[in-house]
Amino acid sequence: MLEETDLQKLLRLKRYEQPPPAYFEDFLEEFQQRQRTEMLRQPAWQVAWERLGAYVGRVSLPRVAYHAATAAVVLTAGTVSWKILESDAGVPAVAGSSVKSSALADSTPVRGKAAALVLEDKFLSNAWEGAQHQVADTGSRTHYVMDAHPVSYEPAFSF
Amino acid sequence: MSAIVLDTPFNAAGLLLGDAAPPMENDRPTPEDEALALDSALVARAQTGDAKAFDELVIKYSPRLYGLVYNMTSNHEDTNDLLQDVFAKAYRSLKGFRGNSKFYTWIHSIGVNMTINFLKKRNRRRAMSLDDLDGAIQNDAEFIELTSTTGPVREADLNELQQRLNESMMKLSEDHRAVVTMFDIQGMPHAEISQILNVSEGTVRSRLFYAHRQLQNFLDEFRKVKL
Repeated sequence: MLEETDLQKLLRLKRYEQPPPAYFEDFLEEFQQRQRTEMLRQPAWQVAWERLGAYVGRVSLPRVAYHAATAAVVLTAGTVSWKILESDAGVPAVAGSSVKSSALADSTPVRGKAAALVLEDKFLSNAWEGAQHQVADTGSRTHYVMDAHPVSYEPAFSF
Repeated sequence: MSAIVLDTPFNAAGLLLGDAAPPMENDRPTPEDEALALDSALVARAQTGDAKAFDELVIKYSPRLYGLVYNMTSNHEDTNDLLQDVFAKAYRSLKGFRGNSKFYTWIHSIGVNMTINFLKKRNRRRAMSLDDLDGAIQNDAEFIELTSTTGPVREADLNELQQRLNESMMKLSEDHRAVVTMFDIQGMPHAEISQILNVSEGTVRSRLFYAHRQLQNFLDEFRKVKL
């Protein structure tokens, strides 16, 4: 039986089993080509994100600055969202995007009298803040009823 | 005897007090420390997206990893494909490398695990595709000793014995082949192998012992047939 020491010598000689001389140079080129191909397969947003991450890593700002900036963005977004929700809570919810106006049943002149407007609108404008609001409950959904005409609707002159 | 009064305070070593002591031999960084420091620097640069830094790591580690994968697969083409996959995986996973182990250990772990998985998935044994022996073997002391007139092997038989050794290696299990490759062929110490395979040193030693016995038996069968 082959001695263990001779076996180990034979095994060590396997180090001399080598690829052709230029193999490792070609290997690197092949690897670089493969990396480029894989990068082209990635979606553009992923490549942009990775490059942003690499750029951020190169810029030597302290990590805490990035955490602070992210926290500030989140806080601002949260505050704005909360304010929008809060202003929504003071006004009944509306649906639809069309604006309907309905004239009063009686023939009372418009000027000097409040005209009721029923708005069916998803978004409320902050420009209506000074107006007097009245909620008309129609049963199935609440409507936003305007008491007064906005100034721009009043005729500039009267006969 | 009058006391000697010194104008300037000197310590026993003859140095001015307050001066730094000269560097001792043990304080100088070893070549291994310098290599580790270089690896750490390259890894840090590669983690920020520096592709050239990763290329340098590829150049540095591809020969060793080639040897590892080749001796486990005994197939040059499979080795080339696997090696590409190993480095691609290392590149994708690099951001997760925390430096808890040496980069060398980490990338060898990837190489061994991917090769073992590849071999286990490949159900039937593929034909060997062996690299040629480098001409430098003629100058190897162990080669000369083995093939000397009093050695156990004639040079004429050595090529055939190497072929049989490769066949015998392929008869080992993947785990046993891995330890033989790393210890006997690549000369890694037991401690390093245990870190790469994530097993105890005792397991490494017992696997080696078993693998050597298997190889001796396989080669003995060949020698008996030859006689």
